[in-house]
Amino acid sequence: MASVSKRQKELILRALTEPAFRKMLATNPKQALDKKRITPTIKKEIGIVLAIVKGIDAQIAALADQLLCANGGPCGIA
Amino acid sequence: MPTGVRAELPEPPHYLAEVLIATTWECNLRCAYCFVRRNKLSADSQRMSPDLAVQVVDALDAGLAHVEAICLHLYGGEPLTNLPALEALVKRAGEKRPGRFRFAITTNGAGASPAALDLLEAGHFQIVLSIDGPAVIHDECRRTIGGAPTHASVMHFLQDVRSKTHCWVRGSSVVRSGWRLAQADAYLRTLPVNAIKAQAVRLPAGAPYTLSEAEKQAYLDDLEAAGRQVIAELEAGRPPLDDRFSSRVLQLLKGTERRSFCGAGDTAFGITPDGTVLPCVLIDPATARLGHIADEPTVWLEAGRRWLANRRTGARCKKCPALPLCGGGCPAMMPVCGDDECDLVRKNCEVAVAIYEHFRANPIALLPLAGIT
Repeated sequence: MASVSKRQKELILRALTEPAFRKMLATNPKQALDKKRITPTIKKEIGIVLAIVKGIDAQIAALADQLLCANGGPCGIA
Repeated sequence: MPTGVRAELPEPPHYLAEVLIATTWECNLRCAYCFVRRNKLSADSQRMSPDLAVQVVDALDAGLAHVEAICLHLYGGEPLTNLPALEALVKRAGEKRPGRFRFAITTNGAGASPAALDLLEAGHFQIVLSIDGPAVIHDECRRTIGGAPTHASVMHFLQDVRSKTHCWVRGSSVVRSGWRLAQADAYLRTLPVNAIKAQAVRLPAGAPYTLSEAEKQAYLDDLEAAGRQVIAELEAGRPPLDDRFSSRVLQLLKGTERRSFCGAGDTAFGITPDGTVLPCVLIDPATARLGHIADEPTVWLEAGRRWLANRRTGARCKKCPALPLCGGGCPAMMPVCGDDECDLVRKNCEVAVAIYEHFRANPIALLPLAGIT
């Protein structure tokens, strides 16, 4: 489980739901965040956000709602 | 059913692959409703050797270069009855890039040894522990080969896992005739586990323990109640203990369409005790053998892609409003459970939509479904 700030949650949500924003966040973070400079702190924050969004992608793709799956696993067997 | 679809799933490159590995089909229990025992595969008494287990890790590491991490999900049979293979898997995976491999196991927990606990801890396993309910419910179906009850030993295992390891645990219950979903959910919530899952027994219509029509309707009603519980937990800012709807709600949030039920043949594979590679460990090898783990990985990878490409969406599925969320049903279960499976998955999809709609104006509240608080 990850505990993140409200601002990070907003970034996660936007990166998850707006593919263009997500791409820009990865390739041109200054433009994505409308910042003149990306500080090490912001850079780290972006890394966390992108990693979390990637994890959500995996969770969605793997279909975790079946009985025997541990965490994002695929099986639908019982 | 889902609205606002913006893209399709999944988008490469993939983050996580899950490989179900049956290190043995043998089991120390003889559960009355066991799906695996009805599978032809279970007649094979072969056990995966430690050498083959090492080969499995090496082949997956080399072959699944398009994914960042690989979850080895031990299945069977009872995987804790083949500790040499388990040990070899954990040891070899530990020699690879940090984070490359992670482990999960589906176990009955009965009769697990201290050595097994040590291995579970060493592999930082996520454990799916089968425990149906209180002793009177659990022991009716889940007995040893000799007919002995197992509830007490499973509870002992759970206590040991909690006190001696850092493993994440999902309590898993099979809902069956005479034991409804709401009861199973309530029982699992009393256990010291990280997540719960109770799901209807997967057997052909008419088999013992299959839900009657009335019980099936009760199950669907209980799924709706489980959805309301999820909403309550999310409103409290907590990840739901029952996470069966999470991936579909997140899918709705992302606005994507599912092209297949799961990643079988692409980001998910099954490996049998003799090293046969399948799209899923419970799909009949006679119809879906992709290759052998000793083959060049391109052999089973390309066969997997062909298998996936050749899967056809049925006429009934094409008309189903749940298709974008369902992806056409589980390829292992649809041939066994048929319409029953469809009804349950469709209800799961409907409840997922209801949860999503409840938070449509406040989507950040859905992030605990991904473990974000």
